[in-house]
Amino acid sequence: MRDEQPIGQGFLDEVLVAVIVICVVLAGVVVISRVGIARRAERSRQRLAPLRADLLAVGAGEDESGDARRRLVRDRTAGHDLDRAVVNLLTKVRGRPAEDLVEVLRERHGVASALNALGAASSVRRARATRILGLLRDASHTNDLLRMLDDRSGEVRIVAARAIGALGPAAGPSAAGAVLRAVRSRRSAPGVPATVALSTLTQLGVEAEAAVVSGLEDDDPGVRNVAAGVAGHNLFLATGPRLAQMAASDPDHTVRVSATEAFGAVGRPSDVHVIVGLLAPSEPAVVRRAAARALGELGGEVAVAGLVSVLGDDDRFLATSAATALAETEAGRRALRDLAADEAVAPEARSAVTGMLQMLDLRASDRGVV
Amino acid sequence: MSPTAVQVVVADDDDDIRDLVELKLTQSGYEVRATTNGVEALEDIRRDPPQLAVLDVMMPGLSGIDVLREIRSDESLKNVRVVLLTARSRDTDVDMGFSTGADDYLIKPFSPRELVHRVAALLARSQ
Amino acid sequence: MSVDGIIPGLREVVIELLAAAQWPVLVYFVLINTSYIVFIALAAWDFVHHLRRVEQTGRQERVASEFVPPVTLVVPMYNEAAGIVQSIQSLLSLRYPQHEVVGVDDGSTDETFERLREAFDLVEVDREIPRELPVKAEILSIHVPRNGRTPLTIIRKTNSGRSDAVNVGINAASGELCVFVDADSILDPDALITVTVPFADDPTRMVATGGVIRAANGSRVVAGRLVEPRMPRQLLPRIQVVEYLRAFLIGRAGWSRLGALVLISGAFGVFRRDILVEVGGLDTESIGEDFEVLMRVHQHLQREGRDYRVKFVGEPVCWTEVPSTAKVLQKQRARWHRGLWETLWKYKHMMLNPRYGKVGMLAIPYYWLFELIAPLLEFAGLLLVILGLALDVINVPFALLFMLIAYGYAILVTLAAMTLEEMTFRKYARWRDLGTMLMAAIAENIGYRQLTAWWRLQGWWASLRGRKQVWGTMTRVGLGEESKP
Repeated sequence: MRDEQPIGQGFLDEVLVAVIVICVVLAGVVVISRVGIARRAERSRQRLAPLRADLLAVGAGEDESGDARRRLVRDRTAGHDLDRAVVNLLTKVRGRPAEDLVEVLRERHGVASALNALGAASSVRRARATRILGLLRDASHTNDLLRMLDDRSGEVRIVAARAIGALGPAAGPSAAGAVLRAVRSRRSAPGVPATVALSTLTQLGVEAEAAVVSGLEDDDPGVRNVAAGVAGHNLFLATGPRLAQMAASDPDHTVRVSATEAFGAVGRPSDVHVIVGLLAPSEPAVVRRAAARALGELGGEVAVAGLVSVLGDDDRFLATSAATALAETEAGRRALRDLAADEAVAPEARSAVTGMLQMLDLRASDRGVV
Repeated sequence: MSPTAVQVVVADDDDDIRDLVELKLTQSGYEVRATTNGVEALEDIRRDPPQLAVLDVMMPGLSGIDVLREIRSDESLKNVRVVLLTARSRDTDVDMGFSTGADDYLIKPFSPRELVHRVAALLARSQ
Repeated sequence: MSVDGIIPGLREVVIELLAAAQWPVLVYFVLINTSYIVFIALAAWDFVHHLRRVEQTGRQERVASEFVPPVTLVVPMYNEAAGIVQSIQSLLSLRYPQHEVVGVDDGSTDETFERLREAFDLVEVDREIPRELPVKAEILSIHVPRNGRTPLTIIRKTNSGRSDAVNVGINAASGELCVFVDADSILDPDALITVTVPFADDPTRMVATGGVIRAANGSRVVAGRLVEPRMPRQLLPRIQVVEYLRAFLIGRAGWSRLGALVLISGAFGVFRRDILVEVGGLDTESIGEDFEVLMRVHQHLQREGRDYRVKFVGEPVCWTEVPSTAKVLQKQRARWHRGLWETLWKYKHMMLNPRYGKVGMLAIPYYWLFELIAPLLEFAGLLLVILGLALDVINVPFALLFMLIAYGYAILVTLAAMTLEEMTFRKYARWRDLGTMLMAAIAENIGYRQLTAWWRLQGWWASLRGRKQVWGTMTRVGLGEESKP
């Protein structure tokens, strides 16, 4: 029998040994990594212990004399552990203490080494450095951060986008354009995620307006989507007419939906009819529903009439959304009550109205907190 | 300050924030009991109800909102004022906090000085 | 014919079989285990990427985003009186900017609804529920909290099964995203944020995400949250912790990375509501409804040629009680395998069909070959070895060596998964738990593996014989919520 074995026993022996060795190595890695992490944390804690009081004093804004700051700047024993601790603390406080911490970091050459690390080979180091620059909240580093928006690593681009957001309007209009362009997906990697871009651009405030206006014309639906979101959030009123157009005719459904919702925030009465038009049965369901939500935000006679017209629609989700939207404005609520009193209303429309009125009554009769 | 110091329970899993809050509040004459997670905080609050609890919303396990919910569902703790430490979000935690019954909130990154002012104002209001 | 005549004949057959099976078995063995290693590498890549991002962006900022879509948590419930109030409360206080809870009482015969009414001060309303998905059950009544603000809706309906209850919940959902949560699942406070991040990051393409499910048995639970993960005290759940780690965490993260995830767990999965409506919701006839619905989503979107994504989120945020007795575990595994078989069979046209992209060319063949057939081969191999030993046609040391390697390799794969867990999420903080895990990884191969293989075959066989499906009701012993002092 042994001669018929396709595989030699010797080979199997070797395989078994290899399997056992790898198992032991893996178990060892688990143990070592656990011990190592605990030990590193402990060592860093010990090194920082003498400086802890000074760190907290600066962080709490208690360092009037500047003594604690000086001791932190002079310290050479805690090295990178201290730099890291300062950076960590910087993420947690604002105001005067934050400025003091930045000063400590600068004088410890933490900023200079972060600037250096922007060109590091490791993407982790580049990301870390980018994050530190963002925490300084110093607009003079805007150009460095913009450069990192083009980094080859997606992670670094995300960190850069967030860091630019932290600068606020001081980052300036060109930063907004760069962030919006970074949303575009590249050949292999996806662009900066929509959420990140949205929160950065909303933080840039009015400085983002020019970028948003041109972003609405971008070829990439992802960019148009983000631009529309920012336009609505930051209340860029001038984009209203364009948003109405996009809501009606953008080739991408998601973009149509976000344009519709944005229009709900910034739309002018003269364009409301465009959104009412989107309630038409020929439109995709997602767009019709977005239109109902937007009309709830917009209010006004035209909007209310539009919403009332779909209460009996075959798309019951749309109908109930329309009822909810009507409940948002005073005129809408009046319309709901009128409909409830009207005998001639179709049963479908009535059913959407009754439920909504009940909810309104419950809310009205509820005084206190839960 | 009154002879019997005001009791404050602080809960935060982040060492820096916990220590900062403890430092500032102790300096202002409060008696601070620091805890590192929601479970500890809840146990501490139930054992000896403080006048005030400063809870970080974002703790693993029991969040600040969870602890708040438990406090508000317990009649014997109705005099505990609660301040939430929330992330930068504009409405999420703030909305949820108020609907669950928080008395005030502070947004991180926070200003230690503001914390002291808010706490003092809150305690003055509830007296 | 005497017995003496049969034995030599059987002997010949077994020798032939063994000779013929050697190479295929070896190839299969190497392939399946290599695939595990590949998955671990892919998962490692995925998690490192994820964690690095968390480190750089900070959990705070991630959670702070207000640009997340509104979510509806759909909670089917059937006779859950014991824990339902706590469970709904903890769902309502999940951290999320905009979420509502829709509980669907599937004709409970206990006090489930009464408890809810009392706790949330529910009142009946005439709210209309759109019937976008066809539903079998009759809706009895709809209730909301009296304050009209708490985002909770409870729907009572006649009993029609979990899938139908979920469909009712989807109909009533107002959120863009629907999250299916079992009433007895325990979610971390950040669970919703974590599992919806992919939708916020890639709103135009993401259609579904799945969270990882972990075994909650033995862990410390306070106020409806799992506050300290611990290893279970019993052997069966212990082995399942390790098994879940390997199979769910690693396997699904790997598929997700490859862009061909076909299975996300029904106990905590997120879908875009409009996509669910497009495909018709859960199939009430299917026994593996979670698997089935995602296959239908893939089929639908691939046919339409849409650019879409399905992603697995590895960060552990959902915990559930796993079976602690052999009887319940047997039912569960039989049901799972039956669901797997019936769904794979239903979608056999997608198999190796380039029209369905990576799903058809990679994931489905893999599930056929390594998930469906695996217990059969494992069992046949075991049988053959036992026969061979009994008939003395196998070289005993050789057979032993082969088995040692086979099981040693299985342990190696589990250890690799544990190493990855240790490097990333490190949920089990106690040294004791680490030791327990290690032992469980070894114990899994002695009896457990063989038994589950047998149970899975039973499930498959039951389906082939067309036996009517029996709903596996999970008898729970409860997670030992710490009572208020």
